[in-house]
Amino acid sequence: MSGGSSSGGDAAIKPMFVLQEGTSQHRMYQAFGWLCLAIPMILAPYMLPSFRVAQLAQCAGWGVAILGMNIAIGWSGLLSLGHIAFCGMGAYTTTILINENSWDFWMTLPVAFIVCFIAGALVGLPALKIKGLYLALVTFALAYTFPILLKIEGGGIARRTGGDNGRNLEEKLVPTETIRKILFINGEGTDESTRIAVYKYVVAVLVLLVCFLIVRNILKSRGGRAMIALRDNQIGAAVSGVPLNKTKVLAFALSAAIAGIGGSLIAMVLDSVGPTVFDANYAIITLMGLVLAGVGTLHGAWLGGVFVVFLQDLAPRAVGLIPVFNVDVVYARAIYGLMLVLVAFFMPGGVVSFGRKWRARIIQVQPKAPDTSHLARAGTGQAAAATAAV
Amino acid sequence: MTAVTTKSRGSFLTWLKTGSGILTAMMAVIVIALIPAIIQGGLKLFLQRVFDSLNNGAVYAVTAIALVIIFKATTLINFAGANIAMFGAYVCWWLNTSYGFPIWIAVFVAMGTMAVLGSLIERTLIRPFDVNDHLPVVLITFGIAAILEAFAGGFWGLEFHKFPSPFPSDPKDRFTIAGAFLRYETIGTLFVMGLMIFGIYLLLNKTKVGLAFRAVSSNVESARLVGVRTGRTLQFGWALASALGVLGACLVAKQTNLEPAFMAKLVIFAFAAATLGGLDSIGGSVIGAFIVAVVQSMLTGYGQEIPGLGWLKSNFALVLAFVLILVVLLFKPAGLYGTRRIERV
Repeated sequence: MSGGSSSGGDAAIKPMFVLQEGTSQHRMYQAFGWLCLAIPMILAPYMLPSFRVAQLAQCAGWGVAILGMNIAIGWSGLLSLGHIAFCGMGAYTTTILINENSWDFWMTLPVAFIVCFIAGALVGLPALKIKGLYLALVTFALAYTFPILLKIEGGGIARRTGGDNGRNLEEKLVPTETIRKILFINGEGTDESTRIAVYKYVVAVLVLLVCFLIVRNILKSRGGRAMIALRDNQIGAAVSGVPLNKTKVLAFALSAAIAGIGGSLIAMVLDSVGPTVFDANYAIITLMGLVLAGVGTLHGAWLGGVFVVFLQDLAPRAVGLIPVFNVDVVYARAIYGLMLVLVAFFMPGGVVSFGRKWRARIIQVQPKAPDTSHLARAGTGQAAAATAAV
Repeated sequence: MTAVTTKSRGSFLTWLKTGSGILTAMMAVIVIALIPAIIQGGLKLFLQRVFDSLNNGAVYAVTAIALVIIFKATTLINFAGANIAMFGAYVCWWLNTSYGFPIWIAVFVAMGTMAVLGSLIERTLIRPFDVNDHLPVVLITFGIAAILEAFAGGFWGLEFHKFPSPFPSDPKDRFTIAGAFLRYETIGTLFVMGLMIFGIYLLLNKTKVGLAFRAVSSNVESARLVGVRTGRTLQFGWALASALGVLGACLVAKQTNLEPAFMAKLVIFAFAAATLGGLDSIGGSVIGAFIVAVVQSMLTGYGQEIPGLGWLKSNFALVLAFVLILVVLLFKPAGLYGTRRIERV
């Protein structure tokens, strides 16, 4: 996980602007950054054709899934290749609850969370003993096994999951009158499918935002720091009092649960689930989305889904531009593979870290000086000396 | 006298915990579980299923050895191995059908080609990375797998191709033992596998490069200090593993037919076999391969007849492989005959 983004070599380049953390300029800069993200996201559903809006909603769904994967791979150092199975579990939980028990979509999200949390804990328990590449092996096998598990005919599993064909959601998510008014989609100019697409987009983005905030706060909490410590140096973390087993299982379960929420969103956006959306092929595509966006970076969540959805769109076209090969969708997979190799070589921290490296040349934020007031209050000479040294 | 008894009891329990003990216990469980099935279905059917599984076992063994060789050398699980093998089988098929190469020559040329490719992959894509930093290496092997699969599909099409059999494969080419048919193909596959294991044994134990390989797999740093060219040795390991993978793919392609994902479907079983036998033990992975193959054949064969297991289908064997990998890694991570790895700080 050596990001390599903040190497010492950059220190020589003097940035154009230096901002002090906590000053009003810094706050304005932060607000500007959030606006740059928010304005396109708010405007997009009203400016773009409805199929693009639907694609963006998918992006948000995959973004949540990638956020979940990132907890395991990026911050806890548990190399999992099988999170697509948890995604699938979430999606199927939502579908089955809506179709068989006629639940509301919103009610299925907590259930998907809990189901995937338990499944993640069950697969994560071995993670205590299974280290590094062995865990990759187990989860890789899980990704291959999941589509087959769906087709087991005993216990009504195949009947509930729809087996090979998958299932359509019988009750689609339709906005109520109040929501239509709030979202300005009650006008005459648009048709019903556009309005539904906009509504789904808003739902998916809101869930992504909530998950983003939750994960951000978790990472800043005691548990989150324990996770990161575990990734960086397991023995050092244990010595510092991090409960290894609890942290590992919880981290894996949480990442599975958030991936499951992503799966639910994808089922909601696509209005259908099927074994081909959650198979080993998508395991590679989501992994590519994750590493391209940035392993261990929070903001990768916004980008990862975009890569997952739009690279599937773009890769066949990019192949078509190369005159040597006949235009063939088959080669698109070669592009995913090439991306994986290139990212590993040239952008180990993904696009986000790469962007940060360049941003550091323009704007640099100096962190606040550590708060030493409690030391001063203690009134020992040592504290005063420490402050002086700072 | 009493002391001797306790000691022997203690040593029996200790023996039961070793690889051989677990192996014997597993065999006993399998045999006992099969007795009702044999009584019900008859000896002929049972023998037929055993013979059918031998072929799979041999192929799993060859593929598992390819994985083990790379794991031994670099402690890296090669997720691209299956697709390197698949690509080699395509090359072999292409040489045979388009250029009229005799099948065995085509197999050897394909093995050579993929050996070169394997060593190039090691040199250019794997060596720049620290193997202890797992993520980039996994990404790269995954990437190579995707690229090779795409190119195989692009060059030769996604449809199934019939693969020429390297052995006499007429329906009449078979022995009959107690009413069950043992096909020449099965014998041929087993023979080639045996020959190959013997070859690897000689290569690793009687040649200088084999000695270097064993030194590197034992301890890279020490090997480098005593003057072993570790880079070249690892390259040799990749070349050997790729060639073996191609051999395994060519042996199995007759039954599965050629398509870009045909080895990826099998590799989970090879992973299960290698994990069971020990990821760094060649002999162990061969034993593991035959156990996996026999259990797979028996479960899918007799599964329907056992009450409560009527939903078992042939593809359920993949779930079995997954469970096997999980259980082995949980309770005996070193596998039956693998070396226990002790982590140092």
